Amino acid sequence: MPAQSTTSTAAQSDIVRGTLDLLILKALALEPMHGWAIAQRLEQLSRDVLRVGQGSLYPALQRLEEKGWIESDWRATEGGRRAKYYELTRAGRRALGAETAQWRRYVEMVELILGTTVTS
Amino acid sequence: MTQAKSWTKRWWRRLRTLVDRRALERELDEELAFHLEMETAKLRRAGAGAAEARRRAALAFGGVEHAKEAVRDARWLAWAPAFALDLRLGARMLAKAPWLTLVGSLGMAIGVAISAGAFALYHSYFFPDLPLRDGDRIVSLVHLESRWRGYDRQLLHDFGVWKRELRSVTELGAFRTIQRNLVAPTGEIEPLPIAEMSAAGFRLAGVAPRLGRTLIDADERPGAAPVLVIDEQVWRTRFGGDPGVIGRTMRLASVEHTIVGVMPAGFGFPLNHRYWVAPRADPSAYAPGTGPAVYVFGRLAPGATVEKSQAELALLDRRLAAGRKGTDAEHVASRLVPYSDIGTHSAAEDEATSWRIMRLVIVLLLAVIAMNVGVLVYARTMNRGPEIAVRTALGATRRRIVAQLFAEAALLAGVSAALGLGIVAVGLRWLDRWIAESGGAPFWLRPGLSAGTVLHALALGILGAAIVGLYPALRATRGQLRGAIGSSGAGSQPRLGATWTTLIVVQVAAAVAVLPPALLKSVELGRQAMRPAGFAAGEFLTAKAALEPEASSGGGGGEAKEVDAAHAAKVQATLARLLARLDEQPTVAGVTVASDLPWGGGTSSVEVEGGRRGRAFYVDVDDRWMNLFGVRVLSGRRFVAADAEATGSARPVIVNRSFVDDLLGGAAVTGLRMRYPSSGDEPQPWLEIVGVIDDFPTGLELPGLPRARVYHPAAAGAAGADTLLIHLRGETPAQFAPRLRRLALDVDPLLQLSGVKSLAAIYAEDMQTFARVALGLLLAAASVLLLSAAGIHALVSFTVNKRHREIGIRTALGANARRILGSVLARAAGQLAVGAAVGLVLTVLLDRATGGELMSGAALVVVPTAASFAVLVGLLAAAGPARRALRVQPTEAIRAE
Repeated sequence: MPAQSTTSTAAQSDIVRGTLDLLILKALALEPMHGWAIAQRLEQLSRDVLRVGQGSLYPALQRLEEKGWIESDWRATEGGRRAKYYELTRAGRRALGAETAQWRRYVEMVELILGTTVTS
Repeated sequence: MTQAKSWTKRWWRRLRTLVDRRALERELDEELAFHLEMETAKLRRAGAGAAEARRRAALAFGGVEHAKEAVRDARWLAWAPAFALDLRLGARMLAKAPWLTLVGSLGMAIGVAISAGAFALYHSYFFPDLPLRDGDRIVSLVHLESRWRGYDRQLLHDFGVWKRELRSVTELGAFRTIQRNLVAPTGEIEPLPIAEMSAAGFRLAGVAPRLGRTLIDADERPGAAPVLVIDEQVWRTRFGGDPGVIGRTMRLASVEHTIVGVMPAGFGFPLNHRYWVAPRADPSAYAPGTGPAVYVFGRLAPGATVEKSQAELALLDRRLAAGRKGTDAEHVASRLVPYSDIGTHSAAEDEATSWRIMRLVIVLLLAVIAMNVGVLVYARTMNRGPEIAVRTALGATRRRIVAQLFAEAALLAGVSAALGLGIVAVGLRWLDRWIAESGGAPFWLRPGLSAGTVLHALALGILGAAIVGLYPALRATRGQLRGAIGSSGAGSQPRLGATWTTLIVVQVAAAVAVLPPALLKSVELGRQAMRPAGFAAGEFLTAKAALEPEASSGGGGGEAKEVDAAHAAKVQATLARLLARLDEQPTVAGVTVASDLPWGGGTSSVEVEGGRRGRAFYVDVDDRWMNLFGVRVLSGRRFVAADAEATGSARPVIVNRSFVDDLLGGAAVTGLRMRYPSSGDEPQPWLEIVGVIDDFPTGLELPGLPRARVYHPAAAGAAGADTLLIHLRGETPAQFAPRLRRLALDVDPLLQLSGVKSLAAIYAEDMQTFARVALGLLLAAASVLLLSAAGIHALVSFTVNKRHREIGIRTALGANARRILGSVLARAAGQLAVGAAVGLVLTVLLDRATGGELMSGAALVVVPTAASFAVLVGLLAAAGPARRALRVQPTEAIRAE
């Protein structure tokens, strides 16, 4: 998502920012990864429906690290390159559970409302 | 990963954002480069060419710099670097306007100093925290005298009743400070202040002795051996820290006291004492309202509140009222006050009122200062309109610009707060030293800045920054979207015409009305401080004499009034014996006794027959006083010995030349009568003026105090005539002082001499105090004057700047330059003149209200000078911008629109 500044995309990006954090946590739940790998995983998971600008990924990682949900350190990749790996902390794991539950409730609620509107 | 480890890691990372920013930036670069590389490699694997792959990878990423900025914004304390930059920028802007910086920070510093100083005084001197266990529950019990609204301390009788009956106050005790001559084995004499204090005082303070024991209740019983508790400093200096000091003796006056305990250093309860003895007075021996003055203290019982205790006291009062009928104690009501009141207060209600007035003055002063500094910064910020517009055009948000202007103000306020605190620290040190010199500060006064004062100053600094920085910044950036780059100062045309005119008028009026009195007073004080005494003060030795009652063992049950009278007679006889002995000394040219020093005394309003009133000093002197100082009699006669014996309206008085000049307009007065205002119901008797003497010391005018003096005849030692004044020949006061002490001890071991000093030394000390006050006042007045001048300058130059465009257009239309200058200056002069006129009216009103004392007759010179000064500053301020405006190219001015 290239940087734009119309109001509709701004509102959309607010929603995306909230979900992006959740998606990153989910991606890291399996194993520690570097930024590019996270972006690949997210693309895979979203099947190109939700296209997250790769540039927005790094501020989100910084935000999550500041919250204490993830941690980073520099390691060597399989190809022998130096890369910054992120991993979930215990607090991050708890947050993932809570955020997931909250997301589900949110989706249910939206579903409920949309369903009601249709029938009435 | 354990919680502790991850916590440490997180804070380590946070710390790095502060101190290792460069490394973080390198890591960020590396991380993003790695990402792009991986993405490029992926695209190449999918078949894209090298250049195409790089292009698509960058596109997918969506702006590397933007991402970096977003990462930086998400870091801990992300705003800090920007704020640091703002501070640096602010410092540069302040340095570019050195006058604004100097005047602004000086003004704010004075504001902070005044406010923080008042705060420090308020808390440490009026409402201090007692550094004792449950210090806030320790109280003092007093009698409030309804006739003169002060505390009456003759409450020994009631103390006995309170001790027996009061339930809501425990550990009730009493103390008074007595003077005792310490007689060293070498024969040297030193009068010592000693606390005669109930053992309850030690229990109340809850401080364990360093050695031995404290006083105990048994020490107060009749017949108990006289014992003494000393403090650590006495123990170290007088006994060399001897561990076997307990059991040794000290001779106080004629009585040997056994030392039973040493209190640790820093213990000064009840006030600042170093010696403690047990009281022997039996409260039941005293009738209500008689006996020595004592202070009563106690602790609120568990569960008791001040209100509850006050109610219980009132209940007791009602029972005691019958016993008080017909005595001096009839007009008293018992009160419970904070313990620290005993050191600083006289009557709580009056203190509260005077504190309210003081606070009002402080607030007014602060308001004037804040207004000035605010105007200065506001005018400057408004003049920076073009700069703000350019920055806005370059993409700065309003928040950024306001933050930057705020940082500038915060810097100014920070420097000012520090400067102000410095002033307070120096002032407090002066005050503490002065208190220590004039009899010692109570133990709860801790010199220097308290944490509370520092916090107060900091809070003021932040508040100042908010007022001085935020408001102008918000106003200046309000219309920024409308203001184009070229609009400069002219774009925001003066909607504020009336506001600015009002501000100028108020500013000038304040400068004209407030500053001259302050300057005058300081000059007057300074002049007094420079004055020599006008007589050979260095040849005089002075001392205050006091005689302690024989034993403080109550009145033995006798009639207290008779005991008091007997003691008074004894004091008189003892002093007479001392005077006789002094007269025998070859180096003593003469000796006299008065109630105060030649320039001291009490002041009161007086009424002369025929209804004329005024204020005058009153002082008691004996029949030798006028001869001793060689004061000329202008008319009538001197005092004779018999005058002191006369009572009621038969007692003559003598007045000085200033009394005649100031109260009676120079008319002859011998034979006229005067009196003091009645206290309570009984009118004071008329007293005949039998003589007029020259002013002494000649020409002395104490600022704010009357020049007129009334002299009453007194016998040595009678009712307050306790100040010895000895004229020496062939020996200096310092040489004679030890001999005076020895003579006094010979006459009576209980005779105390305190303040043994040469008159010249005391005069110098008093004048030094004036000099200090004068200096402080002068500095404050001068800085407010400077601030006012800067404020007027800023206001006028700002309003003229606003007419920039108008002037340009008029020039374009062919108007004469001189004419334009004239019209600009005329408008400024009009505003300034109105301000000066309002100021003059205010000054006259103030001068009238204070009975002409405000200006001391110098108003005719000083006020017009101040007014012209303010107008001159204003005109100069107008001239600069007006001349600049004239040089503006007409096309430029018009294009600005």
